[in-house]
Amino acid sequence: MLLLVTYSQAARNSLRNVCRTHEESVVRGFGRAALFEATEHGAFLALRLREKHPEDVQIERTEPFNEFREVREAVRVAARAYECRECPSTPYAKFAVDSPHPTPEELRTREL
Amino acid sequence: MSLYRHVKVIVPGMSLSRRAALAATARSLGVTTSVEESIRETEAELRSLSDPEPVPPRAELRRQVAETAADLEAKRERVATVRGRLRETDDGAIEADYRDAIRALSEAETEHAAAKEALADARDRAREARDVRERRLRLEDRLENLERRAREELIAAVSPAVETALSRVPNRDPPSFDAADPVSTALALIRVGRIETPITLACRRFPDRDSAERWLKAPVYRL
Repeated sequence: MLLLVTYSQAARNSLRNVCRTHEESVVRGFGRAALFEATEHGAFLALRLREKHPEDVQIERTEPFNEFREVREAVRVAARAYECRECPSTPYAKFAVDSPHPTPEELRTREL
Repeated sequence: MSLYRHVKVIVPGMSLSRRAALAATARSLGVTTSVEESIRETEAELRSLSDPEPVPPRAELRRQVAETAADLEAKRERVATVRGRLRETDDGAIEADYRDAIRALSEAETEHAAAKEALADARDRAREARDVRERRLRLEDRLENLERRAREELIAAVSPAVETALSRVPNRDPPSFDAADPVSTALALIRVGRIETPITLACRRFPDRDSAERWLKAPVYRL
């Protein structure tokens, strides 16, 4: 899909108008951001917005996230284990000490 | 906008922005709101933001990435084709072709890598430039919310008095503020608010200037 993010009130208003008038090509609207269908019409709407507000419209293409393809198992296991922790106030950094789970530092520095 | 600006000429068919005029009425009486300090701070913060830096244009860089990628693909295919021919023959000319194709592929790889790097750099700079814009947008939104809140407070502060004044407007029996005609509403606002510059009255609600000034508690020119 196409992710649209706006950075001014004028661009946000234009985005809202597009979302209202082209529901068929808008997957979700989030106020100043929206997801458009990955169709030529979605791209057409996105490009029109950027043409109108060149500095204040960001367009990115999103991909479905498959954690089994993109994330190593240790990270998935750590997320599940941390959400099942006994003490809700334990920060992850502390939780990871003396455990098989990656440290926050490791998580931050390793790219997908 | 001051109350005077809202109601300076009272004439049948006049237009009146009711909520703005109500808020102005409260301001004319010196009513303050709980958000004044926050409004001043937010305005100052907005002013202190530097003008947003231009976001570096990236269309040309994106085009270069796309074009060098297509070129790279073509060069790869060329290498594969020539390699296939080379296996079938020991012609020296084909060998030279193959070396050329390899060199061209290597050049295309370098160009594509450079184009991608230039685009990545520009994206990083665009992100920084957008941080300022993001901040400005948040402040503008915050200011608008505060102003809305201020207006609500101002309106709430004078609404009861204005309703009472409306119920006593001469020669009219308006049902409520929202349904009242603009002239009646404006007269009620003048009576409640404080106005020092004379109002121009061009409506037939008062027999003479004195009675108008007495009821409105404001100076009046009567046409």
